[in-house]
Amino acid sequence: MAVLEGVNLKKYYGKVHALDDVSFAIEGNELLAVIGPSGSGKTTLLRSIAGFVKLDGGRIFLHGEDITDLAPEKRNVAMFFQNYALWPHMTVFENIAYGLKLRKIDKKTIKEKVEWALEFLGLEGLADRKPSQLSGGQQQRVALARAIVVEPKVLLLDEPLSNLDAKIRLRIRFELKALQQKLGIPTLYVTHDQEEALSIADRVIVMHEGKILQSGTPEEIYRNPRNLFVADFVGMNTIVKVPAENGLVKVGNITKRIENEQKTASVVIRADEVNIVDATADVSTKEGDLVLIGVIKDRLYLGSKYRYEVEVEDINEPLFVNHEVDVAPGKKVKMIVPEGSYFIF
Amino acid sequence: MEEKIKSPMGFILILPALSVLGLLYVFPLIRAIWSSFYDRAGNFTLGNYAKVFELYTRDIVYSVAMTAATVGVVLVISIAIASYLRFRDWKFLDYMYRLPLFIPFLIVGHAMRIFLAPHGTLNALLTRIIGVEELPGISGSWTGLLFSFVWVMTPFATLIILGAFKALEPAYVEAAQNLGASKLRIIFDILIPLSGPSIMVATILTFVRTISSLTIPLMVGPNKPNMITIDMMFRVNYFNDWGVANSLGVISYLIVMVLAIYYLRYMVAERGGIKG
Repeated sequence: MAVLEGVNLKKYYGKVHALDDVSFAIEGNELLAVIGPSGSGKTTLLRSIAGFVKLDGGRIFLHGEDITDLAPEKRNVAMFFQNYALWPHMTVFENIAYGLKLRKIDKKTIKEKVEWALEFLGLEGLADRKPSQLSGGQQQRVALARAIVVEPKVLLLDEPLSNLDAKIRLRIRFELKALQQKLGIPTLYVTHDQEEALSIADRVIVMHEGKILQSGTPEEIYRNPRNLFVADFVGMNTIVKVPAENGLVKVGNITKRIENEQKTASVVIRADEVNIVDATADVSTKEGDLVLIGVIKDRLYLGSKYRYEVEVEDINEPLFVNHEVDVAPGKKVKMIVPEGSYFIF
Repeated sequence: MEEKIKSPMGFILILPALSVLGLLYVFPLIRAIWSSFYDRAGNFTLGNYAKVFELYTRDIVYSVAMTAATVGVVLVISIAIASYLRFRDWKFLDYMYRLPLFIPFLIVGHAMRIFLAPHGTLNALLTRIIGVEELPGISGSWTGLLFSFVWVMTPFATLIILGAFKALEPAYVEAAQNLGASKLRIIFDILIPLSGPSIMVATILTFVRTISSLTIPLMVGPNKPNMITIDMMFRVNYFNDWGVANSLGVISYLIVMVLAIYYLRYMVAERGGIKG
């Protein structure tokens, strides 16, 4: 049985479908990430599980029990708020202990549990501080401690890393993943940062305009996107439009049949996975690799690599690809894109 | 960095406001304090204050007690209404609680006399519900006055407190709810503590408005004891005794000052500075 299951969830705000027949399930202790751009419905999904959004249709089950109509305070799903929502008038200890107090646990046990949480998250010595006296990273961990200390059935994380600066965010990703595995709490993780989701999640759901477009492991989502939106949303990409005739698309050496009767097709190329060599170089390619010939128009130095603007034969738009080798503008190059690093829709 | 006034322009600009403040507030206040220490012949004396304590100690205690009771009841009702409206959108209540704000004190006083009289609206209703024939009216008693004060003062306090409740970050409330807090717990654990400064402002404004109210105690209150304001009016109207009237004024001013000082100290402790 799934730990948490949403069946045909619907939520409308006037004409906007925030949730349009959304179904999902969290199995075992997995970390399920929900990604999508702003307004895709991911936060509405999270808030409806917490009970803060009243659904217009569908049911939510927690360990098989229907919690759809249960008040937020009776659900035992702990939510982590994007802005942490630490109560400024309480100390760190009081913030973490609050949920335990509500459960009428004796003082000694509360103290033990809070101390465990403080130690678990590396917050020793901060128990008596007020939230305003903590750094952003410390506040984030206090908010996490407050959520996990009540031993919730499910943990709901709403953009947990978005308020931290970029460098800390990268480090905390590892910590968060390790923490979740150590605790074994099934977790729903909402983020707009696809890279964060791919790196941390066991499974990923991609949402757009209230619908789930695809769900699968991070590798499946990245290597086998089902449609243009998913392909474009995950990874660093360059996209060009090419003409299609009678359901056939020809790009470089590749000819692909597409299902739709469309006049143009989109080619999505993972910008970091393109190999650039001299146009005359004899490089062995595998069947299915996309080979394009073009001329370097411009380049930007990015530190560990260069970003190139390439004018490709038979394609009207420029391609933007990254490569660590320095190639001078004006040079004719051959670009090899391995199978699985480009998609045609 | 210390800023110095470089040109008199800024001073000239605020001069009209300063003049009004000086003319209508500071000058009368100093004059009132000054004249409370002089007798009719113009000699310095503490006699006015001696008279105040001789004649009006009971009234001063009564005024403070009545005001404190009003503040207490008003706070309970305001917090209850504000809490309800924070969680539930009830348009009717939202409009109704503000209604008394727009009714002049004189009208309220008159309406309350009718409402609270022995055969008034309230008793007509109560006798029917309880099933007794006669009930004493509370108009002209301290309970009637308290009732009227609460009726008049509640909307203003509610307005301030509801504003504070609604301005709170919704995530604070949701975080508590998420951890299992009932609405009642949220009111006491989150809403009230985080709205401390606003509740303090509501308390002080209610206190000041109540203790300085004349019309309502005059129309609804008992004959004895009296609120300080009524004593002041009698002193001037019937005895032309400005000295004692001013002494009474100074005393009520001192009472309010105690509260103001407490408020300032609270604000400094609460936020590390006076804001809002």
